[in-house]
Amino acid sequence: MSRHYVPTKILVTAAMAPEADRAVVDCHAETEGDTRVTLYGRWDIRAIHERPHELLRCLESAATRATCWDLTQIRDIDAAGATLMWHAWNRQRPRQLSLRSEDAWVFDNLAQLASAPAQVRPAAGAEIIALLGRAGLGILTTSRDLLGLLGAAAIDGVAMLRSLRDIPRREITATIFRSGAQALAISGLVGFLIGIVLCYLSGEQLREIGAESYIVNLTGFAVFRELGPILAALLNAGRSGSAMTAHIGVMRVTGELEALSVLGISPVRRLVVPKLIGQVVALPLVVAWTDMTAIAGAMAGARLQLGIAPGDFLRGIVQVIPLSSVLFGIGKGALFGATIALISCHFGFRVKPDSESLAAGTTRAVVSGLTAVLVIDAALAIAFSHLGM
Amino acid sequence: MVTPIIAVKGLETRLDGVVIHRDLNLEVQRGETLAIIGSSGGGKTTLLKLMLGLIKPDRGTVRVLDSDMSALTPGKRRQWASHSGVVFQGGALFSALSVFDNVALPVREARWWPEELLTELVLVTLHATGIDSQDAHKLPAELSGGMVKRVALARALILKPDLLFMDEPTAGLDPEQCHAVVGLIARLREVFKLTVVMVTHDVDSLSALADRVAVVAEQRIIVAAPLAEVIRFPHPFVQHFFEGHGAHSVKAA
Repeated sequence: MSRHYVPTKILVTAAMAPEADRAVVDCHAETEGDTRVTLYGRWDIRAIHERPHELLRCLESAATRATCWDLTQIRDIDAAGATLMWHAWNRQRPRQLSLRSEDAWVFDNLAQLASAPAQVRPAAGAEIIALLGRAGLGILTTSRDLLGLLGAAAIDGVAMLRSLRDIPRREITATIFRSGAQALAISGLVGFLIGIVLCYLSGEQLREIGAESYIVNLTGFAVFRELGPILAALLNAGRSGSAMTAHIGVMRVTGELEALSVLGISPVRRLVVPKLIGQVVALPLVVAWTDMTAIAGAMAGARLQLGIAPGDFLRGIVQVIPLSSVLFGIGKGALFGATIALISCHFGFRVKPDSESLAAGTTRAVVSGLTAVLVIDAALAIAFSHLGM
Repeated sequence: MVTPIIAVKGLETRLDGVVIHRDLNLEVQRGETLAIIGSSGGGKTTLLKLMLGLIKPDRGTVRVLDSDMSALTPGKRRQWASHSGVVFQGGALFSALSVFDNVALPVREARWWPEELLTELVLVTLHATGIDSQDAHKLPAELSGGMVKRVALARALILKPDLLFMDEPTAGLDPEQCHAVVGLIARLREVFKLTVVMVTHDVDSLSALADRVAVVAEQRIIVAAPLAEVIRFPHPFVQHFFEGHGAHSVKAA
């Protein structure tokens, strides 16, 4: 080769005093207008991460005049260094490129990427109509799925009645224990405190119009018809609803749901039906307990604030509140229990096998459970007021 | 004398009162591939966790890459982490992140690389481990066992570590995938000039990859030597482990 360097003229140098490891871009002007760019040093991510922009600028400015690239003097190169060069080369291999054979893989890979432009992420940015449509569709499919789950649970429940040995007693009692017995302390505390608050706030107003004795009617109706069932259901949705979703969701993540199906055990029969029955049994009992503690709280409040003797308070309750109202409240408890169980199980089954989906599913189950309880409660209140109850 | 990249001296470990290691010594030289074998429950994975600084020894020292693993500050830990890659047994990919984001995570955490240049860096690294760029947007749950190992390898290698730890790199793979992954590790080891420490009980990957084999038994390393020597070591566990894999068949593999 007759190629010889004219008095070497350095056009671009990234580092003025190169150590052996430092990445360097060196441009030499050759005769006949050729420019040879030689790279030195280490071009791996550890060596160049502190100045990728500076090196990229050097490479780009060298690329504008380079006719020949020499990478044989490089000590080390990896995907990071090669990516910088690739960008400077406008994503194609320069016509004259000298490489060490062991570095060829990374440029081959880059060339393959360029020929098949990858869509790393599906395009985000949905339009608002599509968003609304999707939300509406989501509610519709959720309702349909819930109805389907209820149907499947009903079929499995009836099938279970035919062969009593199949009834999953252990699971049912476990649900009753968790949703009922373990919830007594918190439900009792909340009921008692709300009873006191209710009595103090309304007692103030009643005293102004001289109608203190009506505190019995007011707290009695409020607690038995509304507060008892609603408080118990809200606490239940937060405590047991989230636990049920997480239980089924983790079974999805760990593949236990598939294992059940493979064994020929219906996940609905084994997981949903016991939770449903357990909740329907436990929540009315918790409602009754919350009713009692709330009345106890109101009684204490009435004694302290209005001077009404507890005995008089209790006699008043028995006279004023019809048994139907008490039973109506407890019945609502059963309905709420079933609703929460159904919604929690539904969202548990919808969990995808990743950690984020489990968190999102649990949140959605609690929020939907609470909303459903309040909507059903409002609907019942309106319906029964038309019936004169 | 060159200082070893890993030096374990006089190690004693107890878990819940049970002695796992007693006076265990091990050295790994730069550039070699060391395989650790031993009976299950014998403390192989615990030894790996000690080298990673995930648990602390009760006595003795574990020095990896010139750092005492029981005295790593959080800042030093980050620096250490960028010099070493780990492939866990199940891959331990973040289930909520796509393949791309899993591999990009170490780079983004280290804040080493401009985001606009990240796509190619990640895709090329994935390519090097045999993952097509079409699969980069998939979630870990959508991948096969072999692909999970490959993505885990890409995530471990993207910061160009000196040292690669692997826990059962071929566990749960079919023979064909096993073979492919062993070949891949052998190739990447050359390209990245890696020192490899792997826990395994797969004789095929031992004979294909390991320069030396360390046998954990009786709470210590009973022998650490090239495979051909280990096979002849007179110890019931070793003899049982290589039963049916006589010296000849292993050499031929």
